[in-house]
Amino acid sequence: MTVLFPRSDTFTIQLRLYHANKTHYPTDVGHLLNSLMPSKSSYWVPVVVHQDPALHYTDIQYGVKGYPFFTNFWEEYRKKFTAVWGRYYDDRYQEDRMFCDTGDQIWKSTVEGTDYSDDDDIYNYSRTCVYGFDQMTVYWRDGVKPPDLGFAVKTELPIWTIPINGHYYAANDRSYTMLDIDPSRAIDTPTTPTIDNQGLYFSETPDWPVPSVTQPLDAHRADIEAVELHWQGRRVRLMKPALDKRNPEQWIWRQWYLDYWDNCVDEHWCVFDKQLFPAYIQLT
Amino acid sequence: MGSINTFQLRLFHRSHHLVQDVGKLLNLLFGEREWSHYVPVVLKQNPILGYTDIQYGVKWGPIIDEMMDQYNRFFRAAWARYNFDGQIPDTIFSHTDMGESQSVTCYYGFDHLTVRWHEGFKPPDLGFPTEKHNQVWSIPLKGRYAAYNSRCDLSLDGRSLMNTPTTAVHECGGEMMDVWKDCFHHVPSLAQFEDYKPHLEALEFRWNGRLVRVMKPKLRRFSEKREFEWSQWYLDHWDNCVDEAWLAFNGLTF
Repeated sequence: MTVLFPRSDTFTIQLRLYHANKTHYPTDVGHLLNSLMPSKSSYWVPVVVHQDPALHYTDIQYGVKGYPFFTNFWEEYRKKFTAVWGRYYDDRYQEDRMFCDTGDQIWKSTVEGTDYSDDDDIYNYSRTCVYGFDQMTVYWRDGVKPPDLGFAVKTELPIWTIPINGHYYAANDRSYTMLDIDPSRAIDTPTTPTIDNQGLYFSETPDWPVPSVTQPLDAHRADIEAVELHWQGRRVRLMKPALDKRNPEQWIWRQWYLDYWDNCVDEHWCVFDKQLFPAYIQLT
Repeated sequence: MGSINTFQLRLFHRSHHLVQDVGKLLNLLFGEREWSHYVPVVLKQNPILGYTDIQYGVKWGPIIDEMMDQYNRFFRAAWARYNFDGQIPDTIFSHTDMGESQSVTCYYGFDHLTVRWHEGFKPPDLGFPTEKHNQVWSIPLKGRYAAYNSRCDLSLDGRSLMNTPTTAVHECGGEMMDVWKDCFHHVPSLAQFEDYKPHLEALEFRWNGRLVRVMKPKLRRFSEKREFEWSQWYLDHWDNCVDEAWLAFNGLTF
């Protein structure tokens, strides 16, 4: 069965709720979800909950139509959590946004230069979320002699491994309205699978991370099978050149965004996270 | 506090439509008090694989009839593994349109064993097909065992935590159980390691490359003799569950 649904205003929301008390974290997760989700229902996004008392937080993924609000949540859980950090993808915009809410005031924001004039739009209290990578892998097509692009490359033809740090913007849509069209396009993420964003956004020009290094690849896309970005060994982004179905003359990059909190390098969030919990338990 | 059951539920979807009111679903499962009892909650709806996994804790036995009645149009089957207070090995049962099955002991599979001997000890030949790298033995050995997969959140301090596919676990041990008789009766050859406890660093069991169980000898506390017991970490999940009815349901073999 194919479910086609006019998608608009579908927010994929990723929350990290910091526990106020390590040993007495909230276990009434049913109520917690009800306080977060409008109409107590997730909108076109699979729900994921991961409570980790050893790490002091609860992670929640869900979907919202329109704007997410946390009024009910703070009314009920004022004493149980110290802060809500959130990343969201809003299909009206192109990139993940990031926000922080400590409950002292709605959208008490760490965002500099924030315009509070429109109280209704979360966009005004958030900023573009930044994700990190520390390695790029280029897979050349069979039989191609890769050009010399001047990278410090570890080459095991036809694969290039390039140790390079950088960051990028991304569109981490986790809604599943498209998933049953072609499950073979789906790739796992730390939460639920995603498909490539071709046909939604980014169809022609990829927002190249570290343009000086990566942009030269664009000229060779006909010879490239795939480009992967990794963070601490985990694949966080996959890009595949393809011919546009609607315009067979036109090359496009199909992109899969596999980001999660682990490779989120938002400056303020990193500071918050480390200040609050300087001594993480080392998991073996 | 009473007893704590760690409950692992896998709900198989009937269609691509996911349950949206997940809060209500959880409250039905949690029972009267509507909270998870000393077990961190982990939940994942996977529309591609066609199931939802839920980990939670309940005080008494798991009751899923009511939930399955109310969500019948979403779920074609529920499989449940649970551990009762770390006292009885994990148990498994299913709930389908045909009704609820008997609870039976749940077995988990491994396909590889790594044996780590202490430096300086010359390991004996125990008759396993072994690749030896100094003090480390790599043994391609297939078998199954019973286990105690509690995910209780008490005593999560400590530094002896290990990751599982859901939440971290602390070491278990100290009970007077005979691990070879209670857990490894299907692989009797492993009982040989009992006599070598003072010389062993660890036994590591793997399934498809994933670490699923770790055993480490440690000195028994409050004992005047120099006695060793096993510290154990149970890291099992659905991936290495080899219960026969479960395998048949999923079209798998062991």
